[in-house]
Amino acid sequence: MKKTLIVAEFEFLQTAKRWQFLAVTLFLPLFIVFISFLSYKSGTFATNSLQEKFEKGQKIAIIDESDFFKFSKDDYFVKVKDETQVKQDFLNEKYIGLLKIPKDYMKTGVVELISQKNQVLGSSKSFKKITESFVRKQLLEAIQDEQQRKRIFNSVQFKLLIIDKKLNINNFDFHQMIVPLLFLVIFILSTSTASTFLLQSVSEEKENRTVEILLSTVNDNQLIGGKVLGLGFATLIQVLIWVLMSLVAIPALSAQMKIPIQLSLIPISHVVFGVVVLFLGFLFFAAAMIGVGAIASNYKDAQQLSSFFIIGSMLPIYVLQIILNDIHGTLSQVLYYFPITSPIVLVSRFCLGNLPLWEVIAGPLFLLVCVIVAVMLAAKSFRLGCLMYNRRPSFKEFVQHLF
Amino acid sequence: MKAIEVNNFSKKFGDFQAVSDLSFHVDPGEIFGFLGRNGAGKTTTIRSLLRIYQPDTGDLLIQNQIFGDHLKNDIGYLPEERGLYTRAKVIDTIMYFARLKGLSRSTASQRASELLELMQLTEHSNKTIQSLSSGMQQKVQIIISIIHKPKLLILDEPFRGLDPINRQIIYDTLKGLKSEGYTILFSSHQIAEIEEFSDRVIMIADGKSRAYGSIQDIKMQFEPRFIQLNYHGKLPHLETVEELNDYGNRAEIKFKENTSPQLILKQLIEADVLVEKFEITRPSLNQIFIQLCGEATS
Repeated sequence: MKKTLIVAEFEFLQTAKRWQFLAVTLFLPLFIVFISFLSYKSGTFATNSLQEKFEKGQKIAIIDESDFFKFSKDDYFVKVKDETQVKQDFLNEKYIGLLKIPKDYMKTGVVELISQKNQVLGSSKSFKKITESFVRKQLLEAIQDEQQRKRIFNSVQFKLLIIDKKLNINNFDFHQMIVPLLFLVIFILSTSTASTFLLQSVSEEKENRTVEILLSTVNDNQLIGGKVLGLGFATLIQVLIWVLMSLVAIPALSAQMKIPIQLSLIPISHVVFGVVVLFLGFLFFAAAMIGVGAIASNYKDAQQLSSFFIIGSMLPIYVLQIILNDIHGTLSQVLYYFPITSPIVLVSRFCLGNLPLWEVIAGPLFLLVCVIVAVMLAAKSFRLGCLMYNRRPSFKEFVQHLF
Repeated sequence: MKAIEVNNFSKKFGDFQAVSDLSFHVDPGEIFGFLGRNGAGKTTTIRSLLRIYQPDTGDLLIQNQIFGDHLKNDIGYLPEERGLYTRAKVIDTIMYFARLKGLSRSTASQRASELLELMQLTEHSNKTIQSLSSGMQQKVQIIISIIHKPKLLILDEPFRGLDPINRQIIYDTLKGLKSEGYTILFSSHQIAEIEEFSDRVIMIADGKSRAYGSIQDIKMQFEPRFIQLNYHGKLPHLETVEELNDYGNRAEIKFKENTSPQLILKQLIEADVLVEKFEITRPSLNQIFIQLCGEATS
């Protein structure tokens, strides 16, 4: 155990001193928050900027070739007839935008947005929204009833409600989403950075030939255990920093984005389950990276081999919508028990899925079994591959070595 | 109790027989030379001795035991394929391995200072490994292998790639260790290194033992069929000579089996060659090595 701790201490210090580790730990979450905030703000800014122009009396000019639209008085749009003049005016920025409704509009539904080279109006969501509203409004002029017009005109408003086992229907609690979302970000960031460092550590020891002297000093288990422990500790510190950052960022962002979040309302069972799965998921990926690092002929090769695990772990993100829409469906079930994808799906289903108890136990238990198998395979791969310099063992050699 | 005992050891990689039925032992306190060409099976034997490889057959024992965790702190090992953590500092790397070998932090620090000074590396102790020359890196590795004062030191090609000055420093260090009574097994394909240091040697080729014992004993196994000749004049054609290396006024002559060196001396005198030295010798270790390895290869 003493040697394992010495290896762990060395691995931890070597990792923690790397600028990449410090950068990922301190700046990546800030960067993510900054980008999210910027994206939110830029949407608001674009709307405000358009609104300012309207307030100054500028309008969007419309050339209507279809002659269908009635054009009652509108705050935003003005119908123009002299096409040449309006084009010139548009270039002189008299108008915010220029729309052309072709003759066959009723047949095709196409409205032409004319932009200046340096101002692509089609990319502005606010502009599109206003234009769509205007076009719909024109189409609905035929309907007399104001209430009906409003209902058709406005998009459908959804209110999320949840039914419980006692058939009570309650408002959807956004706090249910906090742990899955936070877990997703933390898991992806922590496993990808820890995996990279672990992969580097093993493949570098192989590449720089340190592994042989290590194996004459410690045994496989001490070496692998020390690496996982050392990097695990570094990851733990990283996660703690991120959680602390989240505790500060979530209330601030919720206030800014007008989403009412109270940290005290996050279910504690979600947090406990998330921590357990994060630990198991980390161990699984650590074992996988040790195995890959030992088998690969160099770090580049190791990176290629590990991409299966890294991309695989992100698969649930791509199909998250499908999983959330059908949390008990076949895809959710399959990914729940597939070790590479299971950590994210486990937490999502547990927090949002109202799972039966046996599934709550079976998921992490199965992941634990996968972790044990992965650690055993990693140890075998390590023994086989660590002294194969500049080449990787063939599949036949690998299978022979296993049995 | 033998420091190392290898009995009937064989190891195969796929269809390639790396070592075949190899037996030898190393006594405590002796310096044992492991001589062979590249690929002869030296490193495979050492790795199997340290259980980095599993032997196919045979017994490989250190202090009468199979190598395991209980012996790891008693061994110092310099592998043939060597390297260090390139981004780590010299002192951090030495301390890490010293502590893994069971030294306390304070003892490790004290020993590290002593050995860094001995190897003339004190001023480089806070530099990263990658900023050192390859010779300096090798000296760091020697420090790592001896820092815990091991009972048995296994050095696989310790002089490989060293410049003359660094080679001399390692030479002096090993001589010091020899006088302190260390048991050392070291492999090399350089005859001069083996001859200078070893009490006894084993010479292997194609994974098989070709000669084993003290250098004197090995030489005695070969007939005295060499003549060291210092002369003036022109050497005549000598029918009974199998091999002649003529260096001007000095020559090495290997005469044919079942012929008398007296006959050669007579022929030289008849040819008016002024003979200054005429010494009948056994083959040098180098000649034995070339002969045995040549036979093995053919």
